[in-house]
Amino acid sequence: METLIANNYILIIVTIGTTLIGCVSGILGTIITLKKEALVGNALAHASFPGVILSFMIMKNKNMELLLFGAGCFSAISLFIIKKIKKYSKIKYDSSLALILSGFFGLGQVLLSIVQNTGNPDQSGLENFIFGEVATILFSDIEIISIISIIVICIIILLRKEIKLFIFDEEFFKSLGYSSKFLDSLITILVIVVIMIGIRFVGVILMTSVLIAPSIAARQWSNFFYNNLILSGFFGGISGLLGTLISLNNPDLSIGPIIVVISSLIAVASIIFKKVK
Amino acid sequence: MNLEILSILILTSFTCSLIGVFISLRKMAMLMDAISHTVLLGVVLVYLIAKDINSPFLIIGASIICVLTVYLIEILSNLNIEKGAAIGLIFPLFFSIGVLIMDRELKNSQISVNSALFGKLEFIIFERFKINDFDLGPLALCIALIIAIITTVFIIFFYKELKLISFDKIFAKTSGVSVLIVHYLFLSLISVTAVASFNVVGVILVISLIIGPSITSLLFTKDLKKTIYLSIIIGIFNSLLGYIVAFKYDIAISGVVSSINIGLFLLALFARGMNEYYRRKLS
Repeated sequence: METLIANNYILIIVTIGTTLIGCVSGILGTIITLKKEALVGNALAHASFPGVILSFMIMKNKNMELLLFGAGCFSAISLFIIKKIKKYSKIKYDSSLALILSGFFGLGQVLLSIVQNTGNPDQSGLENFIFGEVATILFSDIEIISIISIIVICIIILLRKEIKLFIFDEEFFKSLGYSSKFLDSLITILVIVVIMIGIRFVGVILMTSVLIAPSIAARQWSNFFYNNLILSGFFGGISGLLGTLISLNNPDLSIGPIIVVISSLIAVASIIFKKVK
Repeated sequence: MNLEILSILILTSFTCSLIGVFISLRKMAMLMDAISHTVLLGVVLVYLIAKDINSPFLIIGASIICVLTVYLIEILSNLNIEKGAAIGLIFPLFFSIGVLIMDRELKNSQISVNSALFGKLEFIIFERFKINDFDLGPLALCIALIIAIITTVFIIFFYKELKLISFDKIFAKTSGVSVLIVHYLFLSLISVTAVASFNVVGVILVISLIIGPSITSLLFTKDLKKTIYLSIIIGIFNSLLGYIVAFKYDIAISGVVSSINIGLFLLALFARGMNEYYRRKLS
């Protein structure tokens, strides 16, 4: 047993990381799906792409914390722009999401082509943020990602009652003296944080599915909020776990799409199961 | 400067900004995003059978997958799943399957993940359209021209019906317009456009060509006809500007065009806001 663990040390660490990511995105995804803001995550994840490239251009190295910090900043900027468009125009909400996600992704492509033109040898690997990858991940990266995931899960567990009230009965929630603005911002920050740590594994394009699919699956099995959170975290974790195992055995397949296919199939199976039942 | 690339880009953005007006009015922007992503699966599946990226079946087959996507999303919405969530479930699944098939079966073939994401406008002119060795120009230019003509004819022919279902679905139903037929015809049209644009600008940036010009023009006018004209003008202007900038600095064309699309929209929003602010201050 000991030699098995020693031989597969990296594999085990990577698997723990992806399972945690799947779990935390599933839990948080339940909240945003119930808030009917499922597609915001899609726009924010796409918008983080230029942030990764820009922080590489400024800092000239691929330090994970800095790249992810850049990603988070751009997610926040894009969210700010979406809110401003909503405030100052009558443009339909989904149009502004679509504009933001394609515009920012385009900006990312421009920055990437500038970096590639400079011929800096360090830049290889930046495009891994599009579909995610685990082969070259460092132990320290997994450490950061795991710690952040656990913190996010703890915050949600501690605030579960408040979040439940906020989602289902905002008026009552306000009348109890809580600030719905504060909780709303907190959830948004958590979404951005989870996107930041998730894009390294599943990539910016498919991040939305990791958030949404487990929560749709969980919704088919139970109508209770807490059960939904637990089930969704479980489905997300399982997808992350299986996805990593399959990807490590098939190195030519990207890990992001594998995780997405597994979690979506769980969701589709749950929908069919409920329908048949 | 390469006039062939420029004309492909301008024709594509003409078509996109034309249908974009109806897509933004009908709240189909994210649905269009889903369609443009699933094009990848359609293209990959047809390519596996036909083994030819220029096969005419590619456009038909991939369009069928796109319409199927929309149909699946509608089924899920009827099963008590919120529409946004349904979109977010279906398109990543199809897109991922497409990417995985490409990773596994189509290494070193004519389609790559990179060109699927960003398009390959820079290289597209090397595929020529020849009849008996007589060069009629790049194949993509011919396709773009045909799609532009079909779209224009469709919009002119069904203008009244499209206007009705965009603004007042219930009235459209009662006045005898068969909403369902126009809806699915329109879906097929945008699917064909998405497939044709796939090669030119890639799956993500086509949304920018479709949404950017149309919502910029919707900021300034409420009249449908004026919106359409303005949208086309803005679309062509953005592509032209984008091409010039990209050519000058030797960077990715499609990325520059979509950055300009969002940039111009935000500029227009800001200018309109300032204008209103000062008007209120003066009066």
